[in-house]
Amino acid sequence: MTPDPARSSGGPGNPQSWNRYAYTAGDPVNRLDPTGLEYEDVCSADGNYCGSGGDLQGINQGWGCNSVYVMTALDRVQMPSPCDFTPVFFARPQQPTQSTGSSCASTETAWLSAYLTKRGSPLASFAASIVALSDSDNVDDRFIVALSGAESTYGKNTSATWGQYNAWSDSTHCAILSGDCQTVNPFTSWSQAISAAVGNITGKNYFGANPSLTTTDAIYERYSNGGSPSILNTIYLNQMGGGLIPSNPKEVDFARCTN
Amino acid sequence: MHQLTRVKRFPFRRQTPSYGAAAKRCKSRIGKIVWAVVLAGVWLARSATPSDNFEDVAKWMIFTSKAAWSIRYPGTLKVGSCRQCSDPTAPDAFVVFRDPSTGESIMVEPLEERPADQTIAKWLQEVSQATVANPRVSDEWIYVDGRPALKVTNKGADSIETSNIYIVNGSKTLAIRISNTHKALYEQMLSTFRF
Repeated sequence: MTPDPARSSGGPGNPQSWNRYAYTAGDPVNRLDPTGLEYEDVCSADGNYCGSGGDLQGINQGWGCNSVYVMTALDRVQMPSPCDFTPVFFARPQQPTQSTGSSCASTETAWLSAYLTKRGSPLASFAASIVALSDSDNVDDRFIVALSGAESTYGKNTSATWGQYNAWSDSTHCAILSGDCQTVNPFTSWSQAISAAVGNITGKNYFGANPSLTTTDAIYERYSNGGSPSILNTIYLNQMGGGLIPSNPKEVDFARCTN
Repeated sequence: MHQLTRVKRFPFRRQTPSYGAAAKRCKSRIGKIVWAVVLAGVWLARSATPSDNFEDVAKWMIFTSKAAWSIRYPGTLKVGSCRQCSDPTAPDAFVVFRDPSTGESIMVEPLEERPADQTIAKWLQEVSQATVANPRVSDEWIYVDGRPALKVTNKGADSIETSNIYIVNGSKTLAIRISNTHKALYEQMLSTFRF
Protein backbone atom coordinates (compact mmCIF):
# COMPACT_ATOMS: atom_id res chain seq x y z
CA MET A 1 0.00 0.00 0.00
CA THR A 2 1.69 3.20 -1.11
CA PRO A 3 0.76 6.83 -1.61
CA ASP A 4 -0.04 7.84 -5.15
CA PRO A 5 3.24 9.03 -6.69
CA ALA A 6 1.42 11.07 -9.30
CA ARG A 7 1.22 14.33 -7.38
CA SER A 8 0.24 16.20 -10.47
CA SER A 9 -2.95 14.24 -10.89
CA GLY A 10 -5.08 16.76 -9.02
CA GLY A 11 -5.32 20.36 -8.05
CA PRO A 12 -7.03 22.91 -5.86
CA GLY A 13 -10.34 22.24 -7.53
CA ASN A 14 -10.23 18.58 -6.57
CA PRO A 15 -10.07 18.16 -2.78
CA GLN A 16 -9.37 14.43 -3.07
CA SER A 17 -6.13 15.23 -4.84
CA TRP A 18 -4.84 16.61 -1.53
CA ASN A 19 -4.85 13.09 -0.13
CA ARG A 20 -2.28 10.81 -1.74
CA TYR A 21 -4.39 7.81 -0.83
CA ALA A 22 -7.31 9.42 -2.64
CA TYR A 23 -6.83 7.02 -5.53
CA THR A 24 -8.75 4.62 -3.33
CA ALA A 25 -11.23 7.27 -2.23
CA GLY A 26 -9.50 7.43 1.14
CA ASP A 27 -9.81 3.69 1.71
CA PRO A 28 -6.49 2.11 0.72
CA VAL A 29 -7.33 -1.07 2.61
CA ASN A 30 -10.43 -2.00 0.71
CA ARG A 31 -9.95 -0.46 -2.70
CA LEU A 32 -7.48 -0.90 -5.50
CA ASP A 33 -6.15 1.19 -8.33
CA PRO A 34 -4.51 -1.25 -10.70
CA THR A 35 -4.70 1.00 -13.73
CA GLY A 36 -3.73 4.21 -11.99
CA LEU A 37 -6.89 5.82 -13.27
CA GLU A 38 -9.72 4.98 -10.91
CA TYR A 39 -10.34 2.78 -7.91
CA GLU A 40 -12.01 -0.57 -8.13
CA ASP A 41 -14.31 -1.67 -5.38
CA VAL A 42 -13.36 -5.11 -4.16
CA CYS A 43 -17.06 -6.05 -4.15
CA SER A 44 -18.80 -7.81 -7.01
CA ALA A 45 -21.12 -5.77 -9.17
CA ASP A 46 -24.26 -7.43 -7.77
CA GLY A 47 -23.17 -6.60 -4.24
CA ASN A 48 -23.18 -10.19 -3.08
CA TYR A 49 -19.49 -10.82 -2.81
CA CYS A 50 -16.55 -8.75 -1.70
CA GLY A 51 -12.85 -9.10 -1.40
CA SER A 52 -11.79 -10.79 -4.59
CA GLY A 53 -8.93 -8.50 -5.41
CA GLY A 54 -5.51 -7.94 -3.99
CA ASP A 55 -3.43 -9.35 -1.19
CA LEU A 56 -4.87 -7.18 1.50
CA GLN A 57 -4.47 -8.71 4.93
CA GLY A 58 -7.60 -10.77 5.14
CA ILE A 59 -9.74 -8.52 3.04
CA ASN A 60 -9.44 -10.90 0.09
CA GLN A 61 -11.16 -13.76 1.85
CA GLY A 62 -14.65 -12.83 0.76
CA TRP A 63 -17.80 -11.97 2.62
CA GLY A 64 -21.27 -10.68 1.91
CA CYS A 65 -21.68 -7.02 1.29
CA ASN A 66 -24.74 -6.68 3.46
CA SER A 67 -23.35 -8.53 6.44
CA VAL A 68 -20.48 -8.23 8.84
CA TYR A 69 -17.69 -10.71 8.33
CA VAL A 70 -16.44 -12.35 11.51
CA MET A 71 -12.84 -13.56 11.41
CA THR A 72 -13.45 -16.49 13.72
CA ALA A 73 -10.35 -18.27 12.47
CA LEU A 74 -8.13 -15.46 13.70
CA ASP A 75 -9.29 -13.45 16.66
CA ARG A 76 -13.03 -13.07 16.18
CA VAL A 77 -12.65 -9.51 15.02
CA GLN A 78 -15.56 -8.17 13.12
CA MET A 79 -14.36 -6.64 9.91
CA PRO A 80 -16.21 -3.73 8.39
CA SER A 81 -17.71 -4.61 5.08
CA PRO A 82 -16.12 -2.52 2.34
CA CYS A 83 -19.61 -2.15 0.90
CA ASP A 84 -20.48 0.03 3.87
CA PHE A 85 -17.86 2.53 2.79
CA THR A 86 -18.85 6.14 3.23
CA PRO A 87 -17.26 8.77 0.97
CA VAL A 88 -14.41 10.81 2.39
CA PHE A 89 -16.26 14.11 2.54
CA PHE A 90 -19.83 13.95 3.65
CA ALA A 91 -22.44 16.16 5.22
CA ARG A 92 -22.10 16.62 8.93
CA PRO A 93 -24.72 18.29 11.13
CA GLN A 94 -23.91 21.95 11.19
CA GLN A 95 -22.88 23.26 14.55
CA PRO A 96 -23.55 26.94 15.13
CA THR A 97 -20.69 29.18 16.13
CA GLN A 98 -22.83 32.04 17.32
CA SER A 99 -26.29 32.56 15.97
CA THR A 100 -29.77 33.74 16.83
CA GLY A 101 -33.20 32.19 17.15
CA SER A 102 -34.70 29.10 18.66
CA SER A 103 -33.45 26.86 15.83
CA CYS A 104 -29.91 27.65 16.89
CA ALA A 105 -30.55 26.32 20.38
CA SER A 106 -32.25 23.18 19.10
CA THR A 107 -29.42 22.50 16.64
CA GLU A 108 -26.88 23.03 19.36
CA THR A 109 -28.82 20.79 21.72
CA ALA A 110 -28.96 18.02 19.12
CA TRP A 111 -25.24 18.22 18.52
CA LEU A 112 -24.39 18.29 22.23
CA SER A 113 -26.73 15.40 22.90
CA ALA A 114 -25.02 13.30 20.23
CA TYR A 115 -21.59 14.32 21.56
CA LEU A 116 -22.49 13.14 25.07
CA THR A 117 -24.47 10.09 23.98
CA LYS A 118 -21.57 8.70 21.98
CA ARG A 119 -19.51 8.93 25.16
CA GLY A 120 -22.08 7.13 27.24
CA SER A 121 -22.51 10.23 29.42
CA PRO A 122 -25.44 10.52 31.83
CA LEU A 123 -25.50 14.22 30.93
CA ALA A 124 -26.72 13.47 27.40
CA SER A 125 -30.36 13.76 28.47
CA PHE A 126 -29.64 17.21 29.86
CA ALA A 127 -28.16 18.78 26.74
CA ALA A 128 -31.12 21.15 26.36
CA SER A 129 -30.70 22.32 29.93
CA ILE A 130 -26.97 22.93 29.46
CA VAL A 131 -27.59 24.95 26.31
CA ALA A 132 -30.45 26.99 27.76
CA LEU A 133 -28.69 27.86 31.00
CA SER A 134 -25.41 28.66 29.24
CA ASP A 135 -27.08 30.88 26.68
CA SER A 136 -29.03 32.80 29.30
CA ASP A 137 -25.86 33.44 31.30
CA ASN A 138 -23.66 34.23 28.26
CA VAL A 139 -21.21 31.40 28.55
CA ASP A 140 -20.16 28.97 25.81
CA ASP A 141 -22.12 25.79 26.54
CA ARG A 142 -19.31 23.68 25.08
CA PHE A 143 -17.00 24.95 27.77
CA ILE A 144 -19.42 23.81 30.47
CA VAL A 145 -19.47 20.36 28.87
CA ALA A 146 -15.69 20.32 28.46
CA LEU A 147 -15.32 21.10 32.16
CA SER A 148 -17.38 18.05 33.04
CA GLY A 149 -15.10 16.05 30.75
CA ALA A 150 -11.93 17.23 32.44
CA GLU A 151 -13.41 16.77 35.91
CA SER A 152 -15.33 13.51 35.69
CA THR A 153 -15.24 12.18 32.08
CA TYR A 154 -18.63 13.80 31.45
CA GLY A 155 -20.19 12.62 34.70
CA LYS A 156 -19.13 9.00 34.26
CA ASN A 157 -16.64 9.07 37.13
CA THR A 158 -18.30 11.00 39.93
CA SER A 159 -16.37 9.73 42.92
CA ALA A 160 -17.72 9.19 46.41
CA THR A 161 -15.59 12.07 47.69
CA TRP A 162 -17.14 14.60 45.37
CA GLY A 163 -20.65 13.22 45.53
CA GLN A 164 -23.21 11.85 43.13
CA TYR A 165 -24.21 14.20 40.26
CA ASN A 166 -21.16 16.36 41.00
CA ALA A 167 -19.76 16.09 37.47
CA TRP A 168 -18.01 19.47 37.76
CA SER A 169 -16.24 18.72 41.06
CA ASP A 170 -18.07 21.56 42.77
CA SER A 171 -16.18 22.12 46.00
CA THR A 172 -18.84 24.08 47.87
CA HIS A 173 -19.28 21.23 50.28
CA CYS A 174 -15.55 21.26 50.97
CA ALA A 175 -15.69 24.92 51.98
CA ILE A 176 -18.60 24.21 54.27
CA LEU A 177 -16.52 21.52 55.90
CA SER A 178 -13.58 23.91 56.46
CA GLY A 179 -11.70 22.58 53.47
CA ASP A 180 -12.03 18.98 54.52
CA CYS A 181 -13.72 17.25 51.60
CA GLN A 182 -15.84 14.39 52.81
CA THR A 183 -18.53 12.24 51.33
CA VAL A 184 -21.20 14.86 51.19
CA ASN A 185 -23.54 14.97 48.29
CA PRO A 186 -24.02 18.62 47.32
CA PHE A 187 -26.62 17.86 44.66
CA THR A 188 -29.71 15.77 44.40
CA SER A 189 -29.99 15.89 40.59
CA TRP A 190 -28.02 16.52 37.40
CA SER A 191 -30.05 19.68 36.84
CA GLN A 192 -28.86 21.12 40.12
CA ALA A 193 -25.26 20.34 39.24
CA ILE A 194 -25.57 21.93 35.78
CA SER A 195 -27.10 25.08 37.19
CA ALA A 196 -24.36 25.34 39.82
CA ALA A 197 -21.62 24.83 37.22
CA VAL A 198 -22.92 27.60 34.96
CA GLY A 199 -23.45 29.90 37.92
CA ASN A 200 -19.95 29.21 39.18
CA ILE A 201 -18.25 30.13 35.90
CA THR A 202 -20.31 33.27 35.34
CA GLY A 203 -20.09 34.30 39.00
CA LYS A 204 -17.61 36.20 41.09
CA ASN A 205 -14.80 33.66 40.87
CA TYR A 206 -14.35 33.78 37.10
CA PHE A 207 -16.30 36.08 34.75
CA GLY A 208 -17.07 38.38 37.65
CA ALA A 209 -13.56 38.35 39.11
CA ASN A 210 -11.26 41.34 38.96
CA PRO A 211 -9.55 40.96 36.58
CA SER A 212 -12.14 38.89 34.81
CA LEU A 213 -11.14 35.33 33.93
CA THR A 214 -12.69 34.44 30.60
CA THR A 215 -10.31 32.07 28.83
CA THR A 216 -10.03 28.31 29.18
CA ASP A 217 -6.47 28.57 30.48
CA ALA A 218 -7.15 31.26 33.08
CA ILE A 219 -10.36 29.67 34.30
CA TYR A 220 -9.00 26.17 34.60
CA GLU A 221 -5.83 27.20 36.39
CA ARG A 222 -7.96 28.55 39.21
CA TYR A 223 -10.67 25.94 38.88
CA SER A 224 -8.22 23.06 39.37
CA ASN A 225 -5.98 24.85 41.87
CA GLY A 226 -3.08 25.33 39.49
CA GLY A 227 -3.69 22.30 37.36
CA SER A 228 -2.65 22.26 33.74
CA PRO A 229 -5.40 23.41 31.37
CA SER A 230 -4.10 21.16 28.61
CA ILE A 231 -6.58 18.36 29.29
CA LEU A 232 -9.45 20.81 29.21
CA ASN A 233 -8.17 22.37 26.02
CA THR A 234 -7.73 18.97 24.43
CA ILE A 235 -11.42 18.42 24.93
CA TYR A 236 -12.64 21.89 24.20
CA LEU A 237 -10.40 22.94 21.34
CA ASN A 238 -9.66 19.62 19.69
CA GLN A 239 -13.05 18.02 19.97
CA MET A 240 -15.74 20.60 20.49
CA GLY A 241 -15.22 22.96 17.60
CA GLY A 242 -12.31 25.23 18.51
CA GLY A 243 -11.34 25.06 14.85
CA LEU A 244 -14.63 26.61 13.81
CA ILE A 245 -14.19 29.84 15.72
CA PRO A 246 -12.23 32.49 13.87
CA SER A 247 -11.49 34.64 16.92
CA ASN A 248 -9.64 33.50 20.04
CA PRO A 249 -11.06 30.03 20.58
CA LYS A 250 -10.09 30.10 24.23
CA GLU A 251 -12.52 32.90 25.06
CA VAL A 252 -15.68 31.38 26.49
CA ASP A 253 -17.64 34.39 27.74
CA PHE A 254 -20.32 34.41 25.07
CA ALA A 255 -23.61 32.69 24.37
CA ARG A 256 -23.61 30.33 21.43
CA CYS A 257 -27.21 31.18 20.63
CA THR A 258 -28.86 34.50 21.32
CA ASN A 259 -32.51 35.40 21.05
CA MET B 1 65.14 -22.07 13.19
CA HIS B 2 64.07 -20.36 16.34
CA GLN B 3 65.26 -17.03 15.00
CA LEU B 4 63.44 -17.51 11.68
CA THR B 5 60.24 -18.18 13.52
CA ARG B 6 60.61 -14.92 15.45
CA VAL B 7 61.23 -13.01 12.22
CA LYS B 8 58.09 -14.51 10.79
CA ARG B 9 56.01 -13.51 13.77
CA PHE B 10 57.24 -9.93 14.01
CA PRO B 11 58.18 -8.92 10.49
CA PHE B 12 57.72 -5.14 10.99
CA ARG B 13 60.19 -4.97 13.86
CA ARG B 14 62.84 -6.21 11.55
CA GLN B 15 62.09 -3.55 8.94
CA THR B 16 63.22 0.02 8.83
CA PRO B 17 60.03 1.95 8.21
CA SER B 18 60.12 4.52 5.44
CA TYR B 19 58.61 8.00 5.77
CA GLY B 20 55.82 7.10 3.34
CA ALA B 21 54.74 4.05 5.30
CA ALA B 22 54.67 6.04 8.54
CA ALA B 23 52.53 8.72 6.92
CA LYS B 24 50.09 6.09 5.67
CA ARG B 25 49.77 4.56 9.12
CA CYS B 26 49.32 8.01 10.65
CA LYS B 27 46.56 8.86 8.16
CA SER B 28 44.97 5.52 8.81
CA ARG B 29 44.93 6.17 12.56
CA ILE B 30 43.48 9.66 12.09
CA GLY B 31 40.84 8.18 9.84
CA LYS B 32 39.93 5.61 12.46
CA ILE B 33 39.73 8.30 15.15
CA VAL B 34 37.52 10.47 12.92
CA TRP B 35 35.22 7.53 12.22
CA ALA B 36 35.07 6.67 15.90
CA VAL B 37 34.11 10.26 16.76
CA VAL B 38 31.46 10.30 14.02
CA LEU B 39 29.98 6.99 15.13
CA ALA B 40 29.99 8.08 18.77
CA GLY B 41 28.21 11.28 17.76
CA VAL B 42 25.56 9.37 15.86
CA TRP B 43 25.09 6.99 18.78
CA LEU B 44 24.77 9.89 21.24
CA ALA B 45 22.31 11.69 18.99
CA ARG B 46 20.12 8.60 18.78
CA SER B 47 20.36 8.11 22.52
CA ALA B 48 19.23 11.70 23.10
CA THR B 49 15.96 11.05 21.28
CA PRO B 50 14.85 7.67 22.54
CA SER B 51 11.39 8.13 21.12
CA ASP B 52 12.81 7.95 17.61
CA ASN B 53 14.70 4.76 18.32
CA PHE B 54 12.78 1.57 17.81
CA GLU B 55 15.20 -0.30 20.07
CA ASP B 56 14.02 1.82 22.98
CA VAL B 57 10.34 0.98 22.64
CA ALA B 58 11.01 -2.16 24.64
CA LYS B 59 12.18 0.06 27.50
CA TRP B 60 8.99 2.14 27.48
CA MET B 61 6.43 1.91 30.26
CA ILE B 62 3.27 -0.11 29.69
CA PHE B 63 -0.14 1.32 30.56
CA THR B 64 -2.81 -1.33 30.98
CA SER B 65 -6.43 -0.28 31.26
CA LYS B 66 -9.04 -2.29 33.12
CA ALA B 67 -11.00 -2.01 29.88
CA ALA B 68 -8.58 -4.62 28.51
CA TRP B 69 -6.28 -2.57 26.33
CA SER B 70 -2.68 -1.50 26.72
CA ILE B 71 -0.20 0.90 25.19
CA ARG B 72 3.50 1.60 25.65
CA TYR B 73 4.75 5.12 26.31
CA PRO B 74 8.06 6.83 27.05
CA GLY B 75 8.68 7.43 30.75
CA THR B 76 9.09 11.15 30.07
CA LEU B 77 5.35 11.48 29.39
CA LYS B 78 2.92 12.15 32.22
CA VAL B 79 -0.17 10.00 32.55
CA GLY B 80 -3.34 11.87 33.47
CA SER B 81 -7.07 11.54 33.54
CA CYS B 82 -10.08 13.41 34.81
CA ARG B 83 -9.77 15.07 38.23
CA GLN B 84 -12.17 12.67 39.90
CA CYS B 85 -10.55 9.70 38.19
CA SER B 86 -8.21 8.59 40.96
CA ASP B 87 -7.55 5.45 38.93
CA PRO B 88 -6.75 6.26 35.26
CA THR B 89 -6.96 2.55 34.47
CA ALA B 90 -10.69 2.54 35.29
CA PRO B 91 -12.72 1.35 32.28
CA ASP B 92 -14.78 4.54 31.99
CA ALA B 93 -11.91 7.01 32.41
CA PHE B 94 -10.12 8.71 29.55
CA VAL B 95 -6.33 8.64 29.68
CA VAL B 96 -3.96 11.36 28.51
CA PHE B 97 -0.24 10.82 27.95
CA ARG B 98 1.14 14.33 28.00
CA ASP B 99 4.57 15.76 27.29
CA PRO B 100 4.98 18.26 30.15
CA SER B 101 7.49 20.32 28.20
CA THR B 102 5.18 20.97 25.24
CA GLY B 103 1.69 20.20 26.52
CA GLU B 104 1.19 17.91 23.52
CA SER B 105 -0.68 14.72 24.22
CA ILE B 106 -2.16 11.48 23.05
CA MET B 107 -5.56 10.67 24.53
CA VAL B 108 -7.37 7.35 24.69
CA GLU B 109 -11.06 7.88 25.25
CA PRO B 110 -13.71 5.22 25.90
CA LEU B 111 -16.83 5.77 23.83
CA GLU B 112 -20.30 4.29 23.87
CA GLU B 113 -20.52 0.59 23.09
CA ARG B 114 -21.36 -0.36 19.54
CA PRO B 115 -24.98 -1.50 19.19
CA ALA B 116 -25.26 -5.11 18.07
CA ASP B 117 -27.16 -4.15 14.92
CA GLN B 118 -24.55 -1.65 13.72
CA THR B 119 -21.76 -2.59 11.35
CA ILE B 120 -18.32 -1.48 12.45
CA ALA B 121 -17.82 0.76 9.43
CA LYS B 122 -21.08 2.65 9.94
CA TRP B 123 -20.61 2.85 13.69
CA LEU B 124 -17.11 4.29 13.46
CA GLN B 125 -18.21 6.86 10.91
CA GLU B 126 -21.06 7.82 13.22
CA VAL B 127 -18.95 8.24 16.35
CA SER B 128 -16.28 10.10 14.42
CA GLN B 129 -18.87 12.65 13.32
CA ALA B 130 -20.53 13.03 16.69
CA THR B 131 -17.51 13.21 18.95
CA VAL B 132 -15.41 15.83 17.15
CA ALA B 133 -16.91 19.03 15.80
CA ASN B 134 -13.83 20.45 14.14
CA PRO B 135 -13.60 20.55 10.34
CA ARG B 136 -12.67 17.22 8.79
CA VAL B 137 -9.60 17.20 6.57
CA SER B 138 -9.42 13.56 5.54
CA ASP B 139 -10.22 10.03 6.61
CA GLU B 140 -8.81 6.61 5.82
CA TRP B 141 -8.98 3.03 7.02
CA ILE B 142 -5.90 1.79 8.80
CA TYR B 143 -5.03 -1.22 10.94
CA VAL B 144 -4.39 -0.93 14.68
CA ASP B 145 -3.44 -4.12 16.48
CA GLY B 146 -4.55 -6.01 13.41
CA ARG B 147 -8.03 -4.52 13.51
CA PRO B 148 -9.49 -2.10 11.01
CA ALA B 149 -9.68 1.41 12.41
CA LEU B 150 -10.99 4.68 11.03
CA LYS B 151 -8.41 7.46 11.10
CA VAL B 152 -9.87 10.94 10.72
CA THR B 153 -7.81 14.11 10.58
CA ASN B 154 -9.55 17.17 11.96
CA LYS B 155 -8.40 20.75 11.83
CA GLY B 156 -8.52 22.32 15.27
CA ALA B 157 -7.88 25.73 16.72
CA ASP B 158 -5.01 27.66 15.10
CA SER B 159 -5.20 25.19 12.18
CA ILE B 160 -3.48 22.51 14.28
CA GLU B 161 -4.47 19.11 12.98
CA THR B 162 -5.43 16.20 15.18
CA SER B 163 -5.57 12.57 14.14
CA ASN B 164 -8.55 10.78 15.64
CA ILE B 165 -8.44 7.03 15.37
CA TYR B 166 -11.62 5.06 16.08
CA ILE B 167 -11.42 1.37 16.81
CA VAL B 168 -13.79 -1.35 17.96
CA ASN B 169 -13.11 -4.59 19.79
CA GLY B 170 -16.37 -6.51 19.94
CA SER B 171 -18.74 -3.83 21.15
CA LYS B 172 -16.08 -1.82 22.99
CA THR B 173 -15.33 1.42 21.16
CA LEU B 174 -12.30 3.62 21.73
CA ALA B 175 -11.01 6.87 20.28
CA ILE B 176 -7.27 7.54 20.20
CA ARG B 177 -6.64 11.23 19.70
CA ILE B 178 -3.19 12.33 18.59
CA SER B 179 -1.73 15.76 18.21
CA ASN B 180 0.00 15.91 14.87
CA THR B 181 2.77 18.14 16.17
CA HIS B 182 4.77 15.20 17.50
CA LYS B 183 3.33 12.77 15.03
CA ALA B 184 6.31 10.39 14.84
CA LEU B 185 6.40 9.70 18.57
CA TYR B 186 2.66 9.26 18.90
CA GLU B 187 2.38 7.04 15.85
CA GLN B 188 5.12 4.88 17.36
CA MET B 189 3.03 4.70 20.52
CA LEU B 190 0.00 3.80 18.43
CA SER B 191 1.90 0.86 16.97
CA THR B 192 2.21 -0.55 20.50
CA PHE B 193 -1.54 -0.37 21.21
CA ARG B 194 -3.03 -3.77 22.03
CA PHE B 195 -6.41 -5.11 23.04
